[in-house]
Amino acid sequence: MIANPSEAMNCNDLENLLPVYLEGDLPGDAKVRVDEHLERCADCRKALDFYRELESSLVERRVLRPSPGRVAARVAERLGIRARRPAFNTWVGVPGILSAALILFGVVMLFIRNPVKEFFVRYEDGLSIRLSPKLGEWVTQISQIGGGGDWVLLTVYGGVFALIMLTGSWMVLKFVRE
Amino acid sequence: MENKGFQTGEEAGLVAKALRGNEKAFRQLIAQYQPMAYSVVRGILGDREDVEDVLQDVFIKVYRGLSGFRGDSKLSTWIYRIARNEAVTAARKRDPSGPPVEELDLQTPARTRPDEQYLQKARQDYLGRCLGQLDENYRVVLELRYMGEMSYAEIGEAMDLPIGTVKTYIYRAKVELRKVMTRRGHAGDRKPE
Repeated sequence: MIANPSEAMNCNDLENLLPVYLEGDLPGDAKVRVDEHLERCADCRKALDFYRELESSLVERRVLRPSPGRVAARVAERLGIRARRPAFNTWVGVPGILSAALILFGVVMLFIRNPVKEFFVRYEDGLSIRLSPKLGEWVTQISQIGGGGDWVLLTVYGGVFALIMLTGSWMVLKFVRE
Repeated sequence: MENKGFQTGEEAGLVAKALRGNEKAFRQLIAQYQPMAYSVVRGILGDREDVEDVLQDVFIKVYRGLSGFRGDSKLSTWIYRIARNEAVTAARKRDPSGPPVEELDLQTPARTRPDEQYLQKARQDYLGRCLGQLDENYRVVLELRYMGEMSYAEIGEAMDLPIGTVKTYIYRAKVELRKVMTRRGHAGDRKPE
């Protein structure tokens, strides 16, 4: 395929060599002679450009590939393998959303707290008595941060609730996976 | 399960889990081998609308045959053969009077502009038709290399060919493709020096 090393290459010699040249697979002396020919031959440079563009177009064909997720879902369906919703959505997503909703509720309370303020204060007192005086004291102290608004208390409750739910979900998820 | 035929112990574990009905493991297996299987099916069938159906058939056969896989060949070689057989069978069933040509479904990123999508589709449509005029082996190696993003060694392993032969196929395929495109007037003709 490679012409006699003592001779200069012509376009016919290059016909089959350009893809090899582009891939960097030509031995040193052949590469030098291809370089020399390309320097003086505009047609072969054009052909080389064609192979470069061809490579890009072939790479671009990847956009035709269907997503593995779609194929897997259809194959699983046809095989009768029960398609489970991703565990993340079930065990972490739902409590996560609920917790976020609770915290959002606390923030909303900041703006409309006056009508319900007394209720929460009473609830806080009752909770303190039912649980333990020490906890009640601690909760009251926290509720004084930032000016003593009930939103602080609600956010803390929401955060604790979220933490408990997410930890529980993580443990269940781990158990299910194993 | 022995690791014979598997690239890694992890792959063997994945197959074992898939066989126990672990859907996640089976999905992972599909994700790993789908580009290769798709390239083979597409290389043989070309731009046909049933390419994805045949691809599903391939993985159904893979799933059903996994328990009998003894590791006499590499897993990739085994899946390659299934993909090739399924595609060849589908090609034989093709209606000679008028094979359906697929309306290309490009999985482009959402941000791609409509005019870019149109040009991309036209380019791929044209390239698909030109590829269709090459020999099957040439089409398949090109698809495996570029669509399947496989190295020469991986292609050689799957097709059970020496790396040198794979390279030769790819170089010749490109030269042949240029000839096809030149005949169609799209490859920048040159006059021999």
